[in-house]
Amino acid sequence: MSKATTSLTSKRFDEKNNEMRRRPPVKPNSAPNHIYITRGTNVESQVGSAEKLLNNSFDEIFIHGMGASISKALVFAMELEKKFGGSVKSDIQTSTVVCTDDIVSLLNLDETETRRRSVSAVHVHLYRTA
Amino acid sequence: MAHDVRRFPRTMRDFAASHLVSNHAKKCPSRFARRKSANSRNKFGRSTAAKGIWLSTHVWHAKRFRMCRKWGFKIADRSYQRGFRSVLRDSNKNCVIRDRSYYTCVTIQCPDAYSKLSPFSQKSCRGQSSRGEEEECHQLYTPGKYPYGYIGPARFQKLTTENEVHVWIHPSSKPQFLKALIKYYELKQTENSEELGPVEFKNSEMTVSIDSENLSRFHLSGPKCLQKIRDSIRFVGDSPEHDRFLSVAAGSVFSSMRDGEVLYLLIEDPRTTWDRKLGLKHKKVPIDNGEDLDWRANNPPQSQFWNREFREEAIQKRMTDAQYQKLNPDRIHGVVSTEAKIPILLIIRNEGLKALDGVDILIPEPFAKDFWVSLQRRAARASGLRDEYAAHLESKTLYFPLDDVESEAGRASEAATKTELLDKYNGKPHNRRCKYWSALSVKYPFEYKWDELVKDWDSVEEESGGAFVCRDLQKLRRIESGLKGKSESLEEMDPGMLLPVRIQFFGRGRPKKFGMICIPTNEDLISIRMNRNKEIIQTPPLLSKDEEEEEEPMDVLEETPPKGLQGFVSLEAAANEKPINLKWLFEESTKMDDRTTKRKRVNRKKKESKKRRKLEFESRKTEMETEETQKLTTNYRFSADREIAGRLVAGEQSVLGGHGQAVGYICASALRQIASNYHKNKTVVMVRNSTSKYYHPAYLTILKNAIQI
Repeated sequence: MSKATTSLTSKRFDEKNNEMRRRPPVKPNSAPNHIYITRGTNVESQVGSAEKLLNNSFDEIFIHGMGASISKALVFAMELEKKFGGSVKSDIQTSTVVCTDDIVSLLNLDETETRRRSVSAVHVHLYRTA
Repeated sequence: MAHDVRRFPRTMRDFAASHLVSNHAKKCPSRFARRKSANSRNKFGRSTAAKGIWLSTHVWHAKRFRMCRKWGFKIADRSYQRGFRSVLRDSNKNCVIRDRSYYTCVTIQCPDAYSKLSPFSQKSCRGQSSRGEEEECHQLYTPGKYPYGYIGPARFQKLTTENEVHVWIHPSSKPQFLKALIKYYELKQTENSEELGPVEFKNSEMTVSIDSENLSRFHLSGPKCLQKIRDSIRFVGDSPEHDRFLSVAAGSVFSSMRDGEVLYLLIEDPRTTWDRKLGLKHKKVPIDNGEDLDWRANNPPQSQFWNREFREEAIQKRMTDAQYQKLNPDRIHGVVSTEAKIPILLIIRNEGLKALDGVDILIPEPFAKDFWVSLQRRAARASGLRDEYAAHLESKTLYFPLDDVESEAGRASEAATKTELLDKYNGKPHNRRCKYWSALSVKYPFEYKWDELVKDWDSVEEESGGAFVCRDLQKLRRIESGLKGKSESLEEMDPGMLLPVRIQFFGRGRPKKFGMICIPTNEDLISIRMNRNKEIIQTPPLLSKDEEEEEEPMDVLEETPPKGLQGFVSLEAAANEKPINLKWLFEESTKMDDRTTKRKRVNRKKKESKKRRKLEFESRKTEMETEETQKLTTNYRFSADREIAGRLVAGEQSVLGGHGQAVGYICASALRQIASNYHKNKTVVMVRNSTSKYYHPAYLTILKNAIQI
């Protein structure tokens, strides 16, 4: 019979015999002025599209980054601020995002576990001053 | 005696009708009658297995899509109205829908049915587990023949009663599965009194029924798929399942639902939601943020969906289109509820494959077309088979059965592709045909011949069974970590094993089906690592070394004539002059009129051309014969400049990635040779298309996902 545990006592698991499948984190907003920076994002090209957004469509944009891409998100925000040379200001907020992982045992398929993982995140609000 | 009652006087017709016994076939109904939508399906021999069975949405699709006959069905291939870009855009931002009703549902009823199927399903290849009634994908093998005897992937759903398992299987692998199942459990077909009832096989304790056309299956993918469903259905009553659906539909399906999770809903007739202007108001339910990790454990499923009588009752109560249209304008808000209450089943697909994740919907077949139209009115983009194939490649995964090389279905599709390509090739004139062997050294341009390739690499004997694909997920993980250098060394490979791989180009080039995965030489590796864009070209094999040396200076000597400056017109009179033969100027035109001479000249020309054709034919024949003997003597592995380690089964320029991307198989024994070919921490191989002489460098990764349907 299938077993289902919602939390693990230890965060560790045997990587050889188990596979971790990460579900994508929840996006706070799916509007086009919310930019999500990941490890795979090319900052240079993204700066160009964000610039277009600020110039043509929106007065404010939101930049989100979590985990390993926090520094990238901040660099991205800095680059944008520098490009606009003082006409754009920023507010920075930090938070914690709860992600869900499914851990599937490759040896005994009836034992699957779902667990929570907290990841730090940063949200930058960029808006036009004038 | 007249056969037609209308030949009698009107007054006598009633009396005569009872006495008329006609052996004649009835006249075909008029074109007008035939084209009525109620008669368009399953009538007049249109929808037969030989011509291709029509799905419930066939008429809708046939107006807008190119239809093709595949696996005994008529399936929508691609849209006539839109190209691939709209489908791509909507699969990323909106919602794309496909009709997958051609999959067959095989129901197995017996005590402990799920474990009865375990001899067919290979546990090590599964990599997915279900809780409760969740649907999961299995890899089916003929019992006792693993690692050979692959049948194909299938989706299992076991019910909590444990006496019933529903197996969804691709129509191309259905015959092989049924054959194996009947043989293993010694089943016998029972005679069915109903014409349209399910086909049944039985033994003392097990009943296998194939309910091929009574359930429709739609696949929706894209981030807004649940919202689209929410907006196109009207719930019947209140149930925890409905609340769960509403709470999930507002957020993202992929963050809060497990792969294979099921939701049973009971809905009104889909036609009641066709009106666009009326926004459906559902009950307000708090949005799920993924906090309830194990919702299903606290809410066991209670549904009548798999109860055949319940579904048939709904079908019987279905209002006909005419009745519905008559009733609808009389109400201010249109018809809101009908007698038919339809059970539907939603299956969450959350496999981490970007373009394929979404929801599968199961719905009784008579309501399927209405539901499809209802979703269309909510702007779910319809797509066909071509888009499905492209979505699989975009998600870097194999598509069954076109990309499979081992099962009967895969082999059949390979043979069909070969004949199609060969016909196309032979239809071309000789000087337009690609010289696969003499110019490009491609031994098998239209087929893979895995058994031969594996034999060259492993020196396997043919009796052992030839090539097989490794689908053991743990083994694939170990091999991958060995390739990355994490574990100590690559373990001993089984002879004849093929590994599924993903190829990503990092330079130019667009991979295609039948491309070759080759092993780079040391010079190639140095040039790749130094970032030199040196072109690596396959030289024709017919040139022996001496000839090559002789020819080389010729290439150097060949000078291109200097081009004149653009827009510059030479004033020299001699520049544009051409020498003309004097004979042409003073040709004896009187002879032209002489009919005998003319005829003679024509005959002479005919003779000459006949002789030339004969000579050409003979020379071509000898050429082909020498080619054949050369091919026979040449080893498949060493047939080109670079050693061939594998072949590509599908490839294209990835639109999302912006680089060439392909999937294929390589011989496991070749892995040791490429294990140390690093470039930026990734394994490098050379890839060449079967129609090209250029080798392109590409990254190789082991595919660890199980093939799914």
